[in-house]
Amino acid sequence: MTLTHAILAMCLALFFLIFALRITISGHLRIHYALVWLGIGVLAFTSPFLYDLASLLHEKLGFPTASTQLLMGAIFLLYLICLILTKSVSHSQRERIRMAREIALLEKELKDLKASGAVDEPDKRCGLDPAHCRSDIRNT
Amino acid sequence: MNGTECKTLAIIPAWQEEKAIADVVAGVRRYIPNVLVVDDCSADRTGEVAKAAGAQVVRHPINLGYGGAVLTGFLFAERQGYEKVVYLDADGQHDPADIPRLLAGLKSADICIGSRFMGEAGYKMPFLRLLGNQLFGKIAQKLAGCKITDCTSGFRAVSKKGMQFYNSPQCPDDVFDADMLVLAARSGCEITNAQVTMRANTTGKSMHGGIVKPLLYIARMMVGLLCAATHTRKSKP
Repeated sequence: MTLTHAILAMCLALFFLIFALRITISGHLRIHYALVWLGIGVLAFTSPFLYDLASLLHEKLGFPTASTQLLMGAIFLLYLICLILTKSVSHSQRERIRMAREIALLEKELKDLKASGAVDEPDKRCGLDPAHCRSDIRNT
Repeated sequence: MNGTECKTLAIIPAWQEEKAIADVVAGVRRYIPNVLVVDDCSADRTGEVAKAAGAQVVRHPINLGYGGAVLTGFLFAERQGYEKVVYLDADGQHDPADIPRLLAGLKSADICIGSRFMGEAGYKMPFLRLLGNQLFGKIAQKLAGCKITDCTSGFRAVSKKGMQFYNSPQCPDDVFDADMLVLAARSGCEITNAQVTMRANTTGKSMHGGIVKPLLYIARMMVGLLCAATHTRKSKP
């Protein structure tokens, strides 16, 4: 890898790393997932050195070129990350379905209770003006 | 109405069925007075029409699909202490007159499948769909170790033990046909079949219409069956 290529790769990786950091700091990315992308960012930043290492190892590992070796490594790494994230999405989806079901049943229970007169209508002011509700709580 | 009827609940998962739901509820109430319509976040008046027809209505805040709606019904049934459940489609294709036959099947089993292919008047289905049904039925039969004549039927009766399976975490909620039956059988539920009649679909709607949907369904079913096949069989007492 030439010096120009190495600098270009490092600049791109730095951009990726800063972007991952920014969305983590702003709270758009949970720390749990941020670790994965920050880790990849660091790995991408060291890619010129990884390329040198791959150049030394590719023949011993049976890859025709160092680039092929790096590409295969990157593909499997991304495959693993996608699998982990899909597992996480599946879990979230299952939880969302479970919660939707619970909400539906609770809503029906509440409607039945209201119809039987066991509960009063909630204070409308609380729904319209949360600040008002808080002042009510403070006053009590 | 006797004591047994009081502890039986009919679950009707419904989505955009305001035209058919009133007749279905009225028909079912002749055999089971307690009817629960699970409105899967319909944009039309399905829930209101069902309620006016005398059903209890649970409305999902988001669309969860057919399996999700049936499972909400099972959760409701278990919490309310029902002992038997019958579930059927909201489009009016299933004949409520078959309900007593399905419930009778629960005397010797935990899940009674309303089969469209038993008896002389077999249900006429498009060839490819019939092929898929029979293929998955045979695979499910082999994996479950019991007779399954109609693995995609949405007309079934379930006992309390079956209900416990439906409410357990191992019951799948995305694909809900043959794989679910295999899992139920492998979890120790007895499965039987009862002949039911199927009315013609007048709405023209189908869960498996188009080209992509059936292909996706086949792929999902194959994965579902593969997962079910790895489930350890529980020995029957």
